[in-house]
Amino acid sequence: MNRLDELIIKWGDASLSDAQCRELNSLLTAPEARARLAKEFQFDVLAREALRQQSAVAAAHTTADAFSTIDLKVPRIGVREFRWPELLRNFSRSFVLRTAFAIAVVVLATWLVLRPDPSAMVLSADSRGVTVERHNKTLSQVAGGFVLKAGDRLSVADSGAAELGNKAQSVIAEFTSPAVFVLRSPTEFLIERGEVSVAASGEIPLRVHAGRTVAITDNGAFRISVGADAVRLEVESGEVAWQRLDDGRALTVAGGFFAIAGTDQPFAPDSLVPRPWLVQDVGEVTAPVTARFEGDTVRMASGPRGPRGKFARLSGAADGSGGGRGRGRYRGSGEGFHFVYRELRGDGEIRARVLPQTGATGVEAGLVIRRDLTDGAPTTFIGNAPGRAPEMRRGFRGGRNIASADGDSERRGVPYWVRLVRQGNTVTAYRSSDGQQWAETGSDTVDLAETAFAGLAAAALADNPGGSVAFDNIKVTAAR
Amino acid sequence: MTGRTQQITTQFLADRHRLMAFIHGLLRDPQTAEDVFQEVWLKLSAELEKGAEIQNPPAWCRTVARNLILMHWRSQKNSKVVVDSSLIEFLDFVEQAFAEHETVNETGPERRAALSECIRALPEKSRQLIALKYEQALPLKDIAHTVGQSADAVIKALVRLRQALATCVEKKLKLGELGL
Repeated sequence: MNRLDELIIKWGDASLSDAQCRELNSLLTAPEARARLAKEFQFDVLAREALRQQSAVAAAHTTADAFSTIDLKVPRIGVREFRWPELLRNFSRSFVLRTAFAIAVVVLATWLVLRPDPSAMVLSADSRGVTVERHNKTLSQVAGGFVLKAGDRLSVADSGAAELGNKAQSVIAEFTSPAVFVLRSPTEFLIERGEVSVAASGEIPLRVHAGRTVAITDNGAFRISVGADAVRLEVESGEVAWQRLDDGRALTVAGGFFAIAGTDQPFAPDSLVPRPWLVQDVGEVTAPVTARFEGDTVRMASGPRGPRGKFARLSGAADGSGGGRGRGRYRGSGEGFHFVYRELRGDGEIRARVLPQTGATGVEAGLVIRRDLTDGAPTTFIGNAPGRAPEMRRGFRGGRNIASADGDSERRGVPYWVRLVRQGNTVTAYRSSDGQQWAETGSDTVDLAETAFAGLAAAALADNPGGSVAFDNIKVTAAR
Repeated sequence: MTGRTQQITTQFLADRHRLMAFIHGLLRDPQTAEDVFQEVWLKLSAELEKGAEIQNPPAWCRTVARNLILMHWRSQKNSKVVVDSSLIEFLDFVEQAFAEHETVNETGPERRAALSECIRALPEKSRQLIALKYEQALPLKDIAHTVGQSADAVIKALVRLRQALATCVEKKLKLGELGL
């Protein structure tokens, strides 16, 4: 048991290595080890509190000793007589009070007239195929600019699309057709069927009812879809509290995770990417890129910055061609990129086929092997931006160019293969037109740890990005 | 406040040290642990205010805390915490450990008082080691530097001290039960 105790102390000291963490996990498969762990964690808190209490008692004694020697000087407390300002002394008191009251009424009335109407949501100009029911009357084919009010029931036709925003711009909702939606208030929706992408940022939490669930957030961007027998929630950023109304079970789903509420389904958050893959932004990434696994294909899409410039839409259109609202602009500094990765222990390689890019401006994308996930860690990259031949670089962006390929076909947007092979601290890049015959692009020495990270990287190209890239035939192989 | 809400609130307050042990044990930083603990309480209060039915409040609190901890780790891009599969697995084990020992509360006031007495009874050097680790929360290498020993020796000494303190606390509690 001593080894377990040592590892627990090392964990508490944040000095546990990856190998030791795995060793600790293997020990924790035993029930008595888990009991020990729970006791040790409780001991930590207990010891901290016991010592804090001892210090507090000691300090109280010291303060009491010091207090007994203080000579207290209590100032004389008097009441100042209220005096009207000089200007108002010529008027009677009742006249001044009546005038002040009148001014207050005028100010209040002006504020009531001019304040933004909090009970309204407005359809954007892109909305089409939308029907609204209000007080049992159907308003067909309402257009952009239409003001929705509490109680309105909105239907989006098969080929339609709807986007709503409240006047404070703290809530934006997009409906993928067909969908039916009831506006209970600007901060409360009911999704009867279909799919909605929502971004919320406000002091009052947004509540979205879907099926027999309710999702609540004040800072989340998420997509919720109501199916015949299940409701699915995917969170892109922020966090969403989600409750099943039938049994009251609740969970918090964080960005990058999803959960399903349905019969015979575990009600728990899970990663949006299948294990052993993981995903995260590396460096400063302010223009969002999302990664989506579609079978054996990974599609990475960047979203254009919307007119409001405030929220990130959840994902691209059905064809994966990006879309969405950037939360800011790419500042062009550092190496920021979105990374779908997994561990590579020892020697090995990663290879993938890069499919032609789609979208207005495209993304810079390719394969990466790097030492760790911190900003500026030693990195080898092979990939390209639209219209450019693949390059092997030291670092994702702004790194030294090691070698450029003569890539006419890649420039024309034909699918091509890339591969990074790690042997010790040497990484060699290859490319191929068919995945069979490989041509070496270049080789570089990179300071890698025994366990490195290999994966797919993508970043938006410009400050108004909107493109996507897809990889398939992805293979990560360790030499042993 | 309904009876059920009052019951859950009372239970939360009684179990707060266990929840804090779960959060602090994973986060290892008292300030962040306090923040997460507060956040869990706010979420629980909000749920209770809405009249939500929470079947197993301790498990519910741990699930919320777990998600907040994961979020915190993921937001620490430049920290040493890499949220990989082994870390997630560890998180699962810790949650399982606390779930399996739901009824064992080793953080009560009697136990704290007993531990306080046991610490006071330690020799000066051992008391200093415990204070450096738990009061000042120094990293092991700094403790090793202060006491002039290697980090491994400090770890071994801490393991022995924790075991000795645990035995001392159990003895004191037993004597207390017997009224001695």
